[in-house]
Amino acid sequence: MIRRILFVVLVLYIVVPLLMPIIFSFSVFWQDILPQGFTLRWYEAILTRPANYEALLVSLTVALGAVLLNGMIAVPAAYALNRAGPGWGRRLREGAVILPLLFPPLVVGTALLQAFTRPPLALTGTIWMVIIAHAILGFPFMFRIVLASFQTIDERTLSEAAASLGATFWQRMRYVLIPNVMPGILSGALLVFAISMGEFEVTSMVAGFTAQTLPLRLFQQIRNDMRIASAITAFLIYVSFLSFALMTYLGARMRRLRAS
Amino acid sequence: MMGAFGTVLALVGMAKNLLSLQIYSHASESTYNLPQAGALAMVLIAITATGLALLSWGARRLARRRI
Repeated sequence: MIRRILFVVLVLYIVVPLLMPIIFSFSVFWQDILPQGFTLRWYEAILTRPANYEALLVSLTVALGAVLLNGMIAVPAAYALNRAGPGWGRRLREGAVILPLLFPPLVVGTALLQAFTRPPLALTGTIWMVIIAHAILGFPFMFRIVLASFQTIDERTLSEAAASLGATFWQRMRYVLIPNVMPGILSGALLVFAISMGEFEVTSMVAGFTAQTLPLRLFQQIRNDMRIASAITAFLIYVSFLSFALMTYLGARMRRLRAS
Repeated sequence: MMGAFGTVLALVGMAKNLLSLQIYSHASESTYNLPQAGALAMVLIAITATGLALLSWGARRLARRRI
C-alpha cells in the first residue's frame, strides 16, 4: 500500500508538471480546471512566426555544431585515455567524470565570457561562441559514453590484429575501431544534441541578438504568450524523449554486441 | 543545482538573492562586473567541491563500515 502511495506521489511530482505544457500546447485556452478546445495553432506559430522559426533554426545549427565539435574532440580523447595507463590515466578518466558536477554551467558561462571577450578571440555574442559553449557542456557526457564503448571492446587486440594484416592507423580507425564503438558515439551524440537543444543558462550569458536559441525564445514567450511558450516547451520535451528512446535502443544494441 | 539559475530566473526573476543569480547579474545584466562574477564563481566552485568531497568521504566511510 505504502509503495503504491509513494509511486502515485512520484508520478504526481515528476510526470504531471511535464504533462501540463503538453496539454496547454494543444488547448485553445485554459482558465478553468480543464483546458478548452483543441488546436495546433501554437505549434504552427513556432514554424510560421519568423522570430520563433529563426530561433528553431539557430538551435538546430548550434546543436549539430556542438555534436560535430564533440565528435572531433571526445572520440579521440576517449581513445587516448582508454589506452592510458592505470596511474595518471585512471585519474584523468575519473576527472572527466567529476568535471560536469564540479563546474556548473554558470561557471562555464562566466569563464567563457572572460576568455572570449577580447580580440583576437572576441567571439562573445556570435553563434560560434554558443556552439563552443554547448560543446564544452556536452563534452563530459559524450566522453563518458564513448569511453565506456571503448572499454567494452578489446581495442588493443583488435588494433594489433588489423596492424598485422597491414592496416595503417587510419584504416584501423575507419574499418575496425570506429564501427565497433559507433553505438556509443551515436548515443553520446544524441545526448549532446538533447542537452544543447534545451540549454538556457550558458546560452543566455554568451549569446547575442544574432544567436537567439529556442530556450531563449521560450524565456521571452513566458512573459508574452504562455500558449506559444507551452508549445515550445512541449517541443523541447519531445526532442528529449526522442533522444532518450534512441539512446535506449542504441544502449540495448551495445549490450547485444558485448554479449556476442 | 548550486549553480542553477534558469528556473529561478523564469519563476521569480531577480527577486531572490541566490549566489547563482548574483553571478549571472554580474556577468550579463546591468550590474556588469566580470571580475566580481569571477570571484563569486570561485566561491561557488569551492562550495561545490567541498560538498562533493564530503559526500565522497561519507560514501567511502559507509562502504568501509559495511565490510
